[in-house]
Order: sequence, then C-alpha cells, then structure tokens
Amino acid sequence: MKLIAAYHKGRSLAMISHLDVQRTLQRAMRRAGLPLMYSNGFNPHPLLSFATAAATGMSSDCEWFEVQFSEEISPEEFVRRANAAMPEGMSLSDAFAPPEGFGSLSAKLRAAEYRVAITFEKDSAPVDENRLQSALDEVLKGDITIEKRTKKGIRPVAQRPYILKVSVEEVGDGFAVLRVLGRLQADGGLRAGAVADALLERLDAHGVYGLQRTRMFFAGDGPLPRLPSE
Amino acid sequence: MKESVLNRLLARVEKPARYIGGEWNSIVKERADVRFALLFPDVYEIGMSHLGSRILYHVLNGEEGVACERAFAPWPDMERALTEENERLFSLETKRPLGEFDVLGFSLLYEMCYTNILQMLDLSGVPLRSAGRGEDDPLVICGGPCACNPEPIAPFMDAVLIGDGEEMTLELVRAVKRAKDEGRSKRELLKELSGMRGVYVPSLKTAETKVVRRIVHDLDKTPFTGEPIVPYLGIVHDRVALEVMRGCTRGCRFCQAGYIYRPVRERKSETVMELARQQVSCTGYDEVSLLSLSTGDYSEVHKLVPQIIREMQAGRVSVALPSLRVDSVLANDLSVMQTVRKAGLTFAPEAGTQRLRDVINKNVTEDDIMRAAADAFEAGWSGVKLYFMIGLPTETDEDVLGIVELAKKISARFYAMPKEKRGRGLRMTVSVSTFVPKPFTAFQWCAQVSPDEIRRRQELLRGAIKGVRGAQLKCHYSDLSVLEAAFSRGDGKLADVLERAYVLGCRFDAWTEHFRPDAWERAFAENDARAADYAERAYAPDAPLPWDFVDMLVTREYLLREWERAQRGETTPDCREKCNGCFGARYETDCRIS
Repeated sequence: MKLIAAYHKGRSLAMISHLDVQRTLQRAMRRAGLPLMYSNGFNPHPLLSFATAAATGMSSDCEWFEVQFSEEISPEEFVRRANAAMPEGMSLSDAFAPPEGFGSLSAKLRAAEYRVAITFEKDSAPVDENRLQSALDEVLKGDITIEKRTKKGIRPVAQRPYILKVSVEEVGDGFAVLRVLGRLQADGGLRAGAVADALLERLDAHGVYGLQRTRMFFAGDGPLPRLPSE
Repeated sequence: MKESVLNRLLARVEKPARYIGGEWNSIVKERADVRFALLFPDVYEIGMSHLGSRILYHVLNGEEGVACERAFAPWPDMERALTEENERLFSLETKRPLGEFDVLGFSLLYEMCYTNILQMLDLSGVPLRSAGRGEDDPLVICGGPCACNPEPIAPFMDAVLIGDGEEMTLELVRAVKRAKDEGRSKRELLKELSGMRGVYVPSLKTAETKVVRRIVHDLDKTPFTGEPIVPYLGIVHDRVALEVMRGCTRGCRFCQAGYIYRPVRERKSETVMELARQQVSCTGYDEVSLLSLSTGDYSEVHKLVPQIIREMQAGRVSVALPSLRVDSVLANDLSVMQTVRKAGLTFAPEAGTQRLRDVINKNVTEDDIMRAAADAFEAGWSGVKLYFMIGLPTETDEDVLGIVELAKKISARFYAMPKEKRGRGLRMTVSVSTFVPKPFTAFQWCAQVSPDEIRRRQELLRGAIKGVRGAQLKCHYSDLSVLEAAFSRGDGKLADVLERAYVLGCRFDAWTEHFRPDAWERAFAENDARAADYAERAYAPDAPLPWDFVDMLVTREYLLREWERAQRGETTPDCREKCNGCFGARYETDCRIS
C-alpha cells in the first residue's frame, strides 16, 4: 500500500542535501520498524519517491513524498511511529492514503511558495520599505537569468516566466522578508534564491538570505494543496 | 557560537553538513563538570568511520558529569572561513570553541594526519606546544596506534595514552575532575597521570621513564559503542561496525597492528549477535560489518557468520566481512553469502613469491590463494581485489614479477570456467603499496627502499601486467610513503620539522590534492634534516631506538628473533598453535591463549 505525507526540514537541517534527507528518512522508518517495501535487484532499497528535491541550504515545511508498505498501516500510525524515530529538526505530517490511480507527486507538482529572509550586511546603505518595494518592482520588470549546470554544461535559464507573485512581508533594521510564489514542475521551475540575488544586486547591497519552502501546490483533486487561482 | 555566525560560516563551505552536528544518537549535555573534546585530525567522513572514537564517545558520555563532544579537521574551505571571520574551531554538539574544553583528545590513526593536529590546535587558539600552554588552556592528549612512537608529536602533547583507551581515558577524566574540584595545578595533575599505566607525560620524561601499554583483559565485558551516531552525510564506513576480536595471532612480520594489539581477545558470538540486533534497531542501518584484524581466525567464525547473515537478512540487513584471510575455510559460508550482496572479494597475499611470503611470515601458500579464488569464482564472484606490497626486506625483481605471475594464474582460473558459469567479465584489481617499516615490528630495524628504486619496481609491474586479462594495476604514491616512514620511526627532532611544515601550509597530507612535497622538503631542510635519512636508515639490532622507552608488551628479544628468522626465510607458527613467547616472562599472564 501507498501513503503520501509531508516531511519538514527544520532550519538546523537546512544544510543537509537531498541525498542525506533520503538516507535519514529511510533509517528513521527502519528504526520505527515500519513495514517498508523494497525494490528488487542488486541493492534493494525502500520505495520512496519525492515530489521534488529540497536543495541544500533550504529548510522546508512541506516536502511531499510517497512511501510504499508491504502491510496495511494507517496514516496516523505511520506518522506517530516515524516521528518517534526522527532526529531533531525532521518530522512528518499530513499523511493520507491516495486513491487508486492517483498518479505521481512529481507529475502533479505545479508551484511552491517560499519565505526568503534577507539579512543585510552592516556596510550596506539602510533599506526601508519604499526603497525595497521599488527595487523589487524594477527587478520584476526585467529579466532574471540564472546559470544552470546541466549534462551539456552550464547554460542560462530565464527565471522571470516562473515567477507568479512576490510580496514584501516585513522590513526591519537590517533585514527584510519576502514571500515568493513560483512555478515548480518536474521539467523546471523557479529558484527562489534568484529573486533575492537580483534584488540585492538592484539595491547594490550585500547580504545573506535563508530560504524556506512554505507550501507546495499540485494539480488535480484530492487532499494535496492546490493553487487558489487554478 | 551564535547561530547567525555558524550560518555565515556554513554558507561559505562546500559540505556544510560536516559541521552541523545534531545527528541521531549524538549526545548534547548542557551542563557538565568536565568537557572532553574528542578530536579527529581528518575530515568528518573519515573520522566518523573510526570505531575507536565511537567507543570512547560512548564510554566518556556514560560517565556522570562528563560531556564528550566531537570535532574534526576543518576542510581548507572552512579553515579559510574561520580565519577570515576571526572565529575559533568549535565542537559539533554544543558549538563551543575548543579552547573552552577541559581536555582535547586526538586520535592518531596514521602519521600523515599530524599536520592537522597542529591546524586544529591553532584554529582553537591553543598554543601548539605543551610548554607554551598555561593553566587555563585545555589539557591536550592523544592516543591510538601511532602513539606507540610518540616522540615526533610529544612536544605538542601534555599526555600520550598508549594502548586500549576504554579504561585509561575514563581514569584520566576522573583525575581531571578531581584536580578541578581540588584546585590542583596542571603540573600536579600531570604528575598523577604519569603514574597511570599506559600514560606518557612528555614534560616529565627522564632517562628512567618506561611507559607500559595498557590493555583491557576481557573484551566481552568491555563497553562497546552504545547507541552509535547515525550521520546525515555519507561517511566512508556507513554501517554498523561490530568488533568481534582485538589482536591477531598470525605474526606477519611487517604488520604493526599484529604486534601492538596482542594478545588476541574475542567477543563471544552471542555477544556479537546481541550487539548486532541492538545496534541495527537503534540506528536503522541496513548493513553491518564484522571487524577484526583477521575475522577468519575468530574462533567462532563458522558459528557466527552463517547465523548473523541469516538473521540480518530477515531484517533486510546485509553483512560485510572485511579482513577475511585467504586460507579461511569459508566456502560454505560463501555460498550462504551469495544470497545477500555480492560485494567484491579481497585477498591480501602481500608478496608475489613463496620465498618472500615466508620472509614476511604471511603463512599463505599459492594453493591457498588459488583455492580461495576458485571457491569465490564458483560461488559467482567476478570482482576480486588483491593487495600486495613492494619494497619488502630482501625483495628481488623475481618477487616483484611474482605478483604478476599470481595475477595471471588467478585470471586464467577465472577464464577456465565455462562462459555461462562465469557471467560477467573478471574485474581484478591488483593494488600495490610501498612497504613502510614500523616500530614494534620484526622489520623495525629495516631501511625503506628509495623512491627511485620503488618507481623502477612499479614500472616493472606496469610493463608485466599488460596482457593479463581482467587485471587492473593500482600503485600507490611513493613520496608519501617516505614521509610516513620518517614519521613512523621518527624522533623528537621531527616535531620541529612538523611544526615548520604546518607553518608552511601543509595540511591533509594523505590527500593527494593537498600533499605538498616541496613544502615538506623545505621544512626538513630548514631543520638540517632529510626525510630520506629517516626512511632509509637501517638500525643495528643493538642500537637505541627512539621508542625504546615504550613497552608494548611484545619484547625486543622476540622481535629480534623474528627479524633473524625472516632473514633466513624461516616461518613462525601462528601462536594459537604454539606459544612463541612474544611477551617474555614479564607479561606472560596478560596472554591467555598459551
């Protein structure tokens, strides 16, 4: 049987990679004694699949994944037992059993929302709400291009078409928080960090930022969150 | 360290997960009477793979009032970040600067990590030399196999722990705690420590100083790793490691571990099974490995191996068996193993001809090797790794070419099988390293062969191995072996060379991309020394040796006897068959085999 759930990757674990996350989930579920289903073949591994990978450096409240079990287990029991075996900073929630023919999470994925917390360095000129908002407007009018490493080498990818909405959530002494909504699908999507990079450049400021994925949105019916406009 | 500072540092490095801590089963104690930093002078992935450190982590944290935390050598990107941000090296558990700990304890697993000890001290703001440290600085200690010749690192250490650490390290922290409670000075503490068996205090060394190696007597009752930490990052040995046995009875004459971990002590197979269940369930690992110097010699191997494979298989846990010797009769067990994972098989004939194998007392015949290879091939294996050394005492070109002859026969044996039986093609790795003479071995008096001559012998191998079907030759770097030889048999003068090399930028010397032979050469030259003079030095049997003041239990007379037999090509039987009196009369009772 299949269950779908969301894992949460706290700030202290932002720096672990997707591969580290996979290992961590597998081992936690083994410690919990859950009846995992394994792949056949040379190196059998538990059958887990993810809507998408959470990048190294990003924390998240909403990483949806699917896991297969060899025995019936209720979503509630799954979450309870798995959470008892999770390291600090990692937990599961919102588990449900998808109906027959539900389809894969990665194929249904459409968009994600991010919280981008920027800390400006002390030597940068002070940034108030007006200045930030107008810089952001400027940024969104133009192109944002990132360099993506692919098998064929490094190539530029335009980010602007993926951006659905960016708003300023908070501006304070030396910091600012943005809320970014962007497209995200199996074949590509927004890198929320690109918005922060472009904004810092436009402001001619130095700073570091923390990324947190706050929500994921999917196509189709069912308990998975959907974009309000779709 | 503040979270914002940590995040700034982490944002600057390639693998930030090396420095975050917080792993499952890691132990964070907010309050403690004594804080002990367990330090490994190499990166996280290597250090976390070291079983001894994991045992000490468990033992120390099990002690009331003691907090044991970890730190590893920061990779050059993190060293740069710490230096530029003006921050101190910190522990993984509480992110405390290492300078605030009571004890800094280094594990010494190989000589080529010594520069990282200095790097870690320096980045902690702790003066490198013991003589330069004050009452408020941490007590800096070390232990591990390299501690058996402590002189090259002695000036940097307040105390060196020689032998098994389980009991000795606990006694040390208890003494530290008492000294703290009673407000005694460091010098008084060191005086007390120097009275403990196994502890060497360099600053109190006199002509009379004798340090006797410490051992635990009953491995079965000795604490193990408790609930081991499960790293986020993939580490080198990412599995449950079970130590089934400590020590080895074989007496291979080049092998330091074979001499310095005597006598053999075993865990009962029931204990090992119990540990396997407990550790798998508290870690979630899907692989366990049985560790020892020679698992094939473990007295209950034929009981344990099938049982552990069968039971672990039921829980989808595979079993790795490193250090299985070729003469172990494990054909039946092998056929059971086939159902699990077909990892590669490893044989270590060490030398290419019977004559040289007799010299080194590797009591393995060509027949043994061929039989083991045949068993493995018949059982479906097609990947084989062969380990050899070149530059062994008395070696000739015939011995060197013997390596290729043996590889040729093994290859022929594989291709003699019918095509449908052998499946995939043969993948035979012939790994050839350079002999390094080590203290407390029968070859401790021997010179190392010069790098030019080693290179000539490597070329000889490269030429001859062409055309051996399925064979791939891997020769190890020889310049590094010279340094390793110099430090393994080094004296106090090398401490100056080491410090200079560190200042000149040497770090992570065992990593090819960081090894800087030019800087090392300069460090030696500035101290009027040459690495080659140390490495290629042959000691007369009656000459004093820098490590003479350390008593590793195995006597000099025995080692000398072995060296003489080696030169005559005479083998010495396994001491399970017949006691060879290696401890002499003094510590006879420490060995229960005879």
